[in-house]
Amino acid sequence: MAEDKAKKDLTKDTTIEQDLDELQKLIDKMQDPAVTLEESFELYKRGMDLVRSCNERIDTVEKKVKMMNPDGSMSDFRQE
Amino acid sequence: MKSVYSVTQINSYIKNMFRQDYMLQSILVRGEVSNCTYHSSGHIYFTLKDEGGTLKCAMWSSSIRNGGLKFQMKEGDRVIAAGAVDVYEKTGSYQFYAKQIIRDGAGELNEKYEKLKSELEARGMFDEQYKLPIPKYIKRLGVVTAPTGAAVQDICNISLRRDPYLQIILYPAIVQGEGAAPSVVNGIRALCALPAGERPDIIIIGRGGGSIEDLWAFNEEQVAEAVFDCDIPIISAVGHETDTVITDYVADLRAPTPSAAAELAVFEYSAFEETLESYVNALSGAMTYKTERLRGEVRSFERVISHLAPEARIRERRMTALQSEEKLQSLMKSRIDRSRGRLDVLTAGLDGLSPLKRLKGGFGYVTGEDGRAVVTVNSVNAGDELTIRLADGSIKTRAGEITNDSVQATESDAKGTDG
Repeated sequence: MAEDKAKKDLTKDTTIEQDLDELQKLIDKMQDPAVTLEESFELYKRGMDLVRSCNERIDTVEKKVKMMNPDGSMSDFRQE
Repeated sequence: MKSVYSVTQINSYIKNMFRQDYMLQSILVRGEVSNCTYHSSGHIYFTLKDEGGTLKCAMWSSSIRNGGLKFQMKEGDRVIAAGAVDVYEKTGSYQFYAKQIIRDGAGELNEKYEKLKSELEARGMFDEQYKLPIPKYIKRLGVVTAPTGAAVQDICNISLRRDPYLQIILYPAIVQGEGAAPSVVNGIRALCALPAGERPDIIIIGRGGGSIEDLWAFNEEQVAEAVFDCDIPIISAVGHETDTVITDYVADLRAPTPSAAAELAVFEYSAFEETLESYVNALSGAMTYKTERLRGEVRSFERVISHLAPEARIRERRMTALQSEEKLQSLMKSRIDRSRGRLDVLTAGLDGLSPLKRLKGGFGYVTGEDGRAVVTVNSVNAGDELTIRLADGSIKTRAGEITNDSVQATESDAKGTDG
């Protein structure tokens, strides 16, 4: 349950920028020799989760440019 | 009789008169544009008129390129043109050659612009504190501009080149002339009103370059207010680098051109991918380093401990003992082998020397009672016990008569010594 919640938090409450900031801090921390192996594993796992979440946030499907019609509906905009 | 001049001479003379008139060489003319033709060569031919008359005009493409005309001139425009009047000898007509043309009334607009600008500034609408941050990684980009023309193309092309997965939502707005301001306002509001999943993360409002009139919608109070009220970050991208409009000040970010706006709004997907990859590498690197370092530490402890353990010491000594034993054995063996070799050699030698070998063909070996070889008759007395050895055995006997040959030359030649 707790883990599910954490995962939810990962994708909802932060921006990609915040995730990347956290990643940087996390990597800096991992380089600290005082950090235990167990902690390192935790940090590594968290980091990989962050990378995955960043990746997942950008759905890599090419989209057509949409144009709003006066009635609020959308149609494909054809570029010249 | 008066002189007769050719037509060419007359036209040339008149041209020269015009040329010498200082005022005609640099003059400002106000009038209304008519018969305006943009020639394929790039030159523009038109007529300026007022209630009293018309003036034939031309503007060379070089003057246009030099920035002399910043708007599309059309029938009915009221303009002020700067240039010179000159004679066209071929037709014997004079023309006004415009170097620069501005709209008549631009000064009025400038005044209006400055007034609104200071008003809005006084209301705090340009304050930094109200600027929304521009998010770096966006999914959807809203664009309020004309659906035709270079601006929308530039924005779409550059945005999609940077991030091919971006969703662009265009609100096709009227960006100049009648109804432009309300159209831009509607665009901003319509994009803001989209449901959460479709709402753009950034909105670019803008258009390509033009005269102050063309860009005027972006100097209207209602547009400025719509930009200010919008809770989605807005980038204002109006005209060229040198054009500045009110929305530039109110917007959360000003871009010099629509293309630049796209660069500012949209992140580069490839760079983002690289960033993520470098993070993955850094994570794995840090982890590997950590485990390797710990493994190394464990190994070195292992070495120390195993060195100190009693079993190891016993094993070590046992090994030494074993090695010594082997060494000893091999030394012994070589020593024995060497001795045996020598013995063989000696035995062979001895065998050659053995007296028994000589006791063949009737020769014998005589020893006395003391076991010593009898080499002279002088050592034997009659009756002494002697032993005669032959090749296949020995005879015990007693000495009879004894003759010394060295004394009596003619004696038997019996010999009993090995000589």
